[in-house]
Amino acid sequence: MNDFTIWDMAQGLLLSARWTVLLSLIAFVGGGLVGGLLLVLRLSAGAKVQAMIRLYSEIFQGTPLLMQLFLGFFGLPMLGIEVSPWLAASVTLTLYTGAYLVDIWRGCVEAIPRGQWQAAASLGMSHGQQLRLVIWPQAMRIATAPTVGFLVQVVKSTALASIIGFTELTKAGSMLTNAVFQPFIIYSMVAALYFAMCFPLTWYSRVLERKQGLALKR
Amino acid sequence: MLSLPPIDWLAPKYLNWMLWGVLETLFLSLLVALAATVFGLLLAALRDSRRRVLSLAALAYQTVFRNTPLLVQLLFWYFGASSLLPAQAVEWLNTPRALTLAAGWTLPWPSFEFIAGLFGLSLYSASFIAEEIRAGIRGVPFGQRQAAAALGLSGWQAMRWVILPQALRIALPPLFGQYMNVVKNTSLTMAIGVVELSYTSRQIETETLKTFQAFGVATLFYIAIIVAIELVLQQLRQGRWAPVGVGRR
Repeated sequence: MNDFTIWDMAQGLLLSARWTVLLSLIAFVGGGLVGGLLLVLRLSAGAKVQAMIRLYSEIFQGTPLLMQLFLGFFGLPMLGIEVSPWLAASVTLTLYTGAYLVDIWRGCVEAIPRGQWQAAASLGMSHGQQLRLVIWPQAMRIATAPTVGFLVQVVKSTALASIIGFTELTKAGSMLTNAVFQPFIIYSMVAALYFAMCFPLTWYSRVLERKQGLALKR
Repeated sequence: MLSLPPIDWLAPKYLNWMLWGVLETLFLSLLVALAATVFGLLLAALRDSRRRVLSLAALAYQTVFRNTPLLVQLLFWYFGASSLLPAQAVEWLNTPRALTLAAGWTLPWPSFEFIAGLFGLSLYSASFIAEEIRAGIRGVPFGQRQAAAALGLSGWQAMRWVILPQALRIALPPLFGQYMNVVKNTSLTMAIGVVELSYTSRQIETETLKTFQAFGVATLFYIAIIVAIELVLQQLRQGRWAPVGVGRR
């Protein structure tokens, strides 16, 4: 039964980790686009649109990601839209990531003193120009550290896609466990691979935070 | 054009299942929140210990638990760690039994799934809660320590009576944010077979094929629990219900 060596198992897991990386990238890029778009809308659109965006991010932040995945994966076919685990996981994680990013980034924009907007307006800039040329470059410096930190949560969240049958790292670990009954070693290796993806991000976000702290003191 | 299915409510039987799931979710969340807070306080104390070995051990613990997915941790405890336990221990944990209390009341023994879920969730959440508590402690001005020392309080007394009550007040909002995460995270225990809200909603969906009703109602229950926690936080912050020393100025 055990013709799999530890090396074979590690290799299999490493290959499936590619899907975790890819799903994380999709969620992050997609979520970044959604978050960015909603941020611009929140800063410039009317009260109704703003309230809707707030509702969106509260719903996605206030409910378990698992429920969102279930609704996406089992719900869309009910509406006549066939979805693969791939598509369901990508779309749900994108919306989930976007809901958090819009909040993180809004906080950063609000941290920029009001006077900066007023100064830009007094130079005759339009609202869009004020945001793009004056506010955003400053907000981005504050935003990088928490954004990279949040990326860790995104990578960890992709593990949930295994529950709807998407074969990424966690699912590969379960499948391997069923084939060669060595759960202790296999799940340790799975955890180690996630750690190898997440820890550099955590560390980098820490470094950015420290740098920013120094810049603010100066 | 999308073809919407006709609205068809869940039968009372299924709503009843769902309510049991809600109770299980609440019970599990409460136990996890308690255990993780106690362990989180301990971790925070270790991290700020003057003994380097202790603070490094706590840091290593937090780094590992915060940088791996909760789902993998749960699978690890349920399948991985239990495979290392002696066979008799697993059998003992798996046998259903009841704890007989006085006056004929019995307390059903929790399933092995429940124990593994409680254990894994608590260890994971503690690593986050410890960080919120530490931030709270850092937020108390240094002068408070000096004032406590000037009054002749020992280090431990100063912590217990001066620093911690203020630190907890500062940490209250992020701490409650963590409790909300705990509630949301209990949904993952369905993957190891804990019959909580997500598990029952999945079961109902399989049996009735009423996808939106099953997951929709479950989602609403989660929202209700999160909103309730938010309301408790607001009450606490306004100083109501607060015991003397916590939450009051």
